[in-house]
Amino acid sequence: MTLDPTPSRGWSTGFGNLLNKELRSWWGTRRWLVHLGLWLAVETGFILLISLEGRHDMTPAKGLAETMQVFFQAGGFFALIGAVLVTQGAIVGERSSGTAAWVLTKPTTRPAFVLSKFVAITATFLFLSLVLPAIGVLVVTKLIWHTLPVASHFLEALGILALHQTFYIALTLMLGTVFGSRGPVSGLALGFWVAGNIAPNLLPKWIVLSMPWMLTQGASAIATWQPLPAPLWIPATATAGWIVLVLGLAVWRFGREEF
Amino acid sequence: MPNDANDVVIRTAGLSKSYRGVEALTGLDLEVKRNSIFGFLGPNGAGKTTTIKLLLGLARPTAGTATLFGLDSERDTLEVRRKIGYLAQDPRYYDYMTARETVRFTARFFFSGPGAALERHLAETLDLVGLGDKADRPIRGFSGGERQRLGIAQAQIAKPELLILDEPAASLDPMGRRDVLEVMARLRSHTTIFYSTHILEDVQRVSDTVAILNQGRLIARAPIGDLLSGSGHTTYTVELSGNVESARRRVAGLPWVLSLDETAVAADTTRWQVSVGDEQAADQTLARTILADESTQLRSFGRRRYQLEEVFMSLIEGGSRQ
Repeated sequence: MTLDPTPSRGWSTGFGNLLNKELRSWWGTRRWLVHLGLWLAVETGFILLISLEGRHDMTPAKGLAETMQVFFQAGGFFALIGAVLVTQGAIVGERSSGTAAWVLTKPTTRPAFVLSKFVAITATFLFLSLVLPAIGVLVVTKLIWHTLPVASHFLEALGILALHQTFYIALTLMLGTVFGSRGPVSGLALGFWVAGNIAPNLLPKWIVLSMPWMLTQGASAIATWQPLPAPLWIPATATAGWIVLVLGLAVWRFGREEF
Repeated sequence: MPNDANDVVIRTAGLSKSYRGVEALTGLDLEVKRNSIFGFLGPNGAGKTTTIKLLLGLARPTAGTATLFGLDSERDTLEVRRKIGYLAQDPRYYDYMTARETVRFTARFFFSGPGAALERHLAETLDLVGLGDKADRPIRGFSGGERQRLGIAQAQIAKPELLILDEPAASLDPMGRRDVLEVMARLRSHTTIFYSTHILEDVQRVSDTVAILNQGRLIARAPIGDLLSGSGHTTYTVELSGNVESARRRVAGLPWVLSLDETAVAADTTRWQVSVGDEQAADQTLARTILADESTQLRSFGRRRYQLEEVFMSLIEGGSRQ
């Protein structure tokens, strides 16, 4: 048996190996367990507490609506902070420790390095902070309110929230290619979210609509059958575009990096 | 491909790098021949690591070019890195991985072959550097020497045509240094080794060609034997006692003796450094001339062997040689 040389695949040369390494840093260590515990406690646990407290005062329909609202707004907020904190060191940490320079002396590319991190963090983090807690919330809802949300609405809202978190992962990753320490990376990413809370009063509506700021509110409205604050396809499409643009910037900036 | 391209593994032409206006490397012209162990010397801040980063595509030159195997270090960087193994000055790996996982991760950039063959290759490589029994331990607990040996394992996992080692023995104790030098000597049969260091003793032991860099400029490049032969003139070290003065007059009168420096090493022993212009004549008659008078006793006699440290210091303090 002989070893075959890995074929060259242009920009994606080494991507699979890097992606495996990134996934291994989650699933091959206790990191996933810590996050699972954290997000189940923060999101599902929180929902369980407020459901138990309000179960004698609310009708099942009202309880369900409140549960959905809390999950998509408060849970979305906590997961957003988590996404920024998890991603802030992805590039900065490897650059300062020297592992990035080491990896980039192997036959792989800088776009593969950046994008493997994006794919691994997005897939893993959304699974741990969104999908599994969402299942937990459905279980709590069924046990306490004896009802479930409309599946299509729930899934649509979940997708919107996933898009929102993905944007912040991409943004934080891009900022990590620009700055040399975690402070400005997380500060600017969270600052952008804070700006979204102030912006509707200051900026023209079309700018607000073209940003991801309305997505959590929109996800909550979808899940609870409330009227949408605005046609959600506009910020959703714009956010998808922003994700692509921000990742492009990250790849471009990291390509110019000298070690 | 012409022979020259086959023989020369690294060639730089006017390679320069500046950081915010500060010249880190200036006009480096270098050639590294296949299957040589090329020692790249210089004091801290001389530009050694900068040169290595330029060769590896981790930094971009501000002027000049570097080619490896005839491939441009910037334009063809992916192809170049397929042929290179690299060990950093302070190697850092992912602490959650074991030694085996680290070399497996490295190997997967190069090989896509069957798992069993790959695992066998990993085991052989870890054995080669003496980490076979520690292969499945997390590397966060590794000593400096073990990390360095792991560094060599990952650097040569793909049996590269060129190994670039940045200060491979700098942080090691004497045993660790010996181990690293032994591994390097073992690898030279199938690879070219380009390594930077400031440990001159190591260079003298294993290198066949040396380049010395100072303040970003190349000040010497020569086979190690040439460099150690000194200034071009052969020097003899002679220790004698008895009637030194008459012997001195006879030797100083020889037409090919260029200089004679005398120092007292003990109450009755004097040491000469005799620099000669005709090596053959000196070999045949210098000792006889000294002993022509029976009252002069010769204690020791031999050609002076320069240490690399002397050559290095004299070059760093001024002058250049290529």
